[in-house]
Amino acid sequence: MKMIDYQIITSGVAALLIIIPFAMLMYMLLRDKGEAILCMECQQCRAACPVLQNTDEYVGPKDIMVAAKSGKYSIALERNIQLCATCAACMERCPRKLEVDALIREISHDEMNRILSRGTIEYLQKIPNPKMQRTYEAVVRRFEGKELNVPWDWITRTFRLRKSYNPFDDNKMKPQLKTQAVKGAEGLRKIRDSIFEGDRDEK
Amino acid sequence: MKNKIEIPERLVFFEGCTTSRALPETRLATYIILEKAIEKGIIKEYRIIPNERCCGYASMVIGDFKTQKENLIFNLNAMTRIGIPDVLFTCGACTQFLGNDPEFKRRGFRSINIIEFLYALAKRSDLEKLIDRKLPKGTKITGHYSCHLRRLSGVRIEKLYREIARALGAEYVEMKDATDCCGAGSEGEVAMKIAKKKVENADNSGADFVPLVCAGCEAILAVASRQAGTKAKFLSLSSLVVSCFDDLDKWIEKLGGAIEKSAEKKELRAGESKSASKAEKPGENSE
Repeated sequence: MKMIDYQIITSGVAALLIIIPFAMLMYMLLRDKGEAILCMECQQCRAACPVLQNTDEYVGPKDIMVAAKSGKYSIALERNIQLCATCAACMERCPRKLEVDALIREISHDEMNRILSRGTIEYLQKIPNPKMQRTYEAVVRRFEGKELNVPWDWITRTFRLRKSYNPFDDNKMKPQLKTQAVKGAEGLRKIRDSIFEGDRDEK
Repeated sequence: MKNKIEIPERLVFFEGCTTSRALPETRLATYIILEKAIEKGIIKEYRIIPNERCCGYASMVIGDFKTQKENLIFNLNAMTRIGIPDVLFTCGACTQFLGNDPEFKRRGFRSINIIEFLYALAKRSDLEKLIDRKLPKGTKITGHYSCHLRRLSGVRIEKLYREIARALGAEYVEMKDATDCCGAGSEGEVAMKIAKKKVENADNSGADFVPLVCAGCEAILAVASRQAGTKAKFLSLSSLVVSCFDDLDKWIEKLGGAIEKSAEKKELRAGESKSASKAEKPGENSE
């Protein structure tokens, strides 16, 4: 009868005892932060960013990554994260192809809502166009009324008394359609005439 | 990378917010292309989404994820009811945002931008069949490579632009920093600064026209070029193609009214939001 090789079993158990806690630790570290932990802060993204070339008030892709790594999102959110042009130039330049663009979406929804709505009110005061202003007001109202009107919202929605206000709904835009069709027709004729100016004279 | 693009026989046309509200020329031109393609027998049918909503990108940018999800589910349900898997977009942001969405992919939909559609036509030499005359000799065209299409959607846009320019009989020139952002995703003064740089680059390349395939780019670059007073004209690719039609006036008269009717039809077809639209009407009048 062959003897059982206890040495293999003990070494295997020892290896598992080391690997399992390490894997758990890595999982806990990586779970919330996703790709952000892979960022090595080489600043290539800052060089590529078109927004940073034009303003100093923007937080920049590298700092967004740092904020996500440390979990302190307020670093990014308080410094005009909404200026991001979502052009993914940072992703293209990044040696590890990390998506800052996707990260902004991942950042906690509630916090983003709260801070961005404050930013929109400040932005609203600068806009000269009344149409745009009305849209933004509606957006801000929606954000601000969220906490106060929860029961009222719930009641009206469940009994279908009122549809929740959606600034992007098509129904709001219907009266413009007729004038738009006329505008489109005029615009297309103008473009055609501007392209074939020379040809018309020959005919 | 999307390399093979086949022309689907049946399409769903997703208008998108910016195209349908801010860019009436692009909207009308795309309808004309689709109608004429049906007449020539290139495609069989196209459908529009009744009471179509925003793709959700605008809501996502301001952090309103709730509206984004509502809109997504509404649109996807409507598309599933139509039952056509190929969706045509005139906007780069919609192409990318819906095309990369996991739920959109799971239901088996495929997003096609207008430039991919026109490229597929040009490759089969159907685009020459579609247009009646080519652009005047010596016309130069340059392309702006939309970030959402090139980087995030993986469309090889530089190749597509060249093929279409060849089919339209124009010379293709490359502008400096063609892959740079147009600034439409950003806000306020910063966006205009980025756009001005882009407009300058396009003007220096010596091109007459800059055909665009993204509604966001078109909206901001048209304003920036008007402010700077450039020689190069910024317009949508579909309106450039449409101006090569001889019977353009006939189509404009035919479709200018038809689009309004389709909007009314939309209202009738959508049973769900009928009561909601009625309830909202008094509010509109008071504003």
